[in-house]
Amino acid sequence: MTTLHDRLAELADDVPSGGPAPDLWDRGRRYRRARLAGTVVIVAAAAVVVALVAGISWQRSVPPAPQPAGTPAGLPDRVYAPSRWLPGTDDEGPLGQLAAVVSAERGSWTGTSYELVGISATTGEYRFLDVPGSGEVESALAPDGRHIAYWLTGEPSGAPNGDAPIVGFAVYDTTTGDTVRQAIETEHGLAVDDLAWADDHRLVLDYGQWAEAGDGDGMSNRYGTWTWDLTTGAAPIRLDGENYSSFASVVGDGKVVVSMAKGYGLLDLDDPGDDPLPIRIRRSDNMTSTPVVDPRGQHVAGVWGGSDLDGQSVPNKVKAGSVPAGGGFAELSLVPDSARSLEVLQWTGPTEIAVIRAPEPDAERVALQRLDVETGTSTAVTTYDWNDGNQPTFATDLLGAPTFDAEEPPGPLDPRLVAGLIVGTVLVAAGLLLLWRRRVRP
Amino acid sequence: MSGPDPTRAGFDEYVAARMPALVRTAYLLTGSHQDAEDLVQVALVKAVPHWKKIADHPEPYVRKILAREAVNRWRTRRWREVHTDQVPETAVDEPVDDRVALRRALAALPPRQRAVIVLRYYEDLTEAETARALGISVGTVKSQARDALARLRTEGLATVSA
Repeated sequence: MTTLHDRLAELADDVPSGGPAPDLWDRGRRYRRARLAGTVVIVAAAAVVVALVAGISWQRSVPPAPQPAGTPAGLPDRVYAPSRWLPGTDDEGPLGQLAAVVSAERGSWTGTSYELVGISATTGEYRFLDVPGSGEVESALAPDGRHIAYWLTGEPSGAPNGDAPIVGFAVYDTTTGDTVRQAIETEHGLAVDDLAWADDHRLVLDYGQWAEAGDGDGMSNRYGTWTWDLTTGAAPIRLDGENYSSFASVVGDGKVVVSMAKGYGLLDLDDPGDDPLPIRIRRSDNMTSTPVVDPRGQHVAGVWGGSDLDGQSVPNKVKAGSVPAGGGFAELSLVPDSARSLEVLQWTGPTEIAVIRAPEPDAERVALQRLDVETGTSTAVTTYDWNDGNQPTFATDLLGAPTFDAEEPPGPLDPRLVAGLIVGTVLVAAGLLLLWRRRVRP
Repeated sequence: MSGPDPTRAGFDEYVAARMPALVRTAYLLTGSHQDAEDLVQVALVKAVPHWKKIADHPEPYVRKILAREAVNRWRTRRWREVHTDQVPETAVDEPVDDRVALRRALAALPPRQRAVIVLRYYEDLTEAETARALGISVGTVKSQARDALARLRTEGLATVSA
């Protein structure tokens, strides 16, 4: 019986021997050159695209030249909207003394979240602040720009109220990057109101306790005002006494304005047991903001009218005046040329306040100015985007210092886009290469 | 002035010696003399860029290109073929000899099974060598060979024995 091999060999013998093909070698060389040329073109094109994407990405990530060494600390003359892909302090280290902080959307590979961006007071650099345990965007920048206080999230002793219950506060040192944490006993988490610096080392905190577990709302009670000293690190001391209820605004130099049964009071944290200096605002003065008092308790200022930017339906002018010795009703008058004022920040001199103003009706950017309350003369400090919704918090000690020319911070490309473009280019090039090497015929 | 290329001389020598045998294998793979010659030329042209590396032992590489090109060509051609309603005239009840029957049976096999049959039972390659030549696993070689032999038997080649 013949095998399959024999039968296949018989069949194969039917075919005549192949004829001569003298140019096979030359055809092979041409085939090699064609494959090589196509490969070089495709790889070169892909390399150009990848280099272009990487180059643009790198170019947009390069920070501007920092201010020269030895430049005194100050505020930038303009605050830019930070890119969501800025580096963080975990990547590049602490920024040092800050001019301002602003909350901004931060991007990651899986989504976005609101976090704090610091602006250096000496170099003008922008960087996300990688502060541990930060649950709320609300923060307080110390007047000298060297510390940031923020509410701390964690596990309360009982069932939590909300996804990220607050169990204390922390202070981040902008120079060393160290964080001091202060836990507060709480069963369901703290219901927080205010967090502010009375001076460079003393915090004022307003908070209560959630009465039950929940989704971040519900009943809360046991509200109060506390102060805490960074230099001692001792437990917070409760401030609110019989004559006053809660913290209202910061004055500076260790003094705060508190809400009282009738009007306000200036409380000196060095003597928290003393009665606050009473400060009353007449109803007819129609002041729509908490009065801003100077540290000596002699002057007061605030915005008169609503906060409408157009300045037509409501005046939005500043009223300022003096407080009688020993306290009482302030004698207020309109500050000339103070239209379109939105908020008084602080007294920066005996007759000068820092105020946020809209330069013109419907302005998209607002200006932080120093305004002489007697003459109405204003001095520009900085500007920022009002529509951004996230107002910067400034280091108020620097309000009177010379400003520096702000450079626009880098706007890095979305790394997901960069990676996608590079991977996509490589895949397309690999596909084209495969196709080309298959299609090119010998 | 440079002399004749020794690499080219080796290639020409190999072509002159092996061309008939390669055409025979290609004929079994394609079923057509014209296609077989074309297939062999393509395989040899594709071997040229690699000749320096394979010159000592070119046969496995050339055979690999030959087999894979045959399978790929058949796949490409399948999509390009035009279907027709008219069946070509064929002799009815005409006695066919073994070679015609074998050629028809091979033509009816899927290209990979056909390549496995040719490499395993004509070229006498081992299963591992066949697998390497076609870029498939040894298990696939076994199953393809088993299926192909079964189909050859059902195509009237009752006496086919491996």
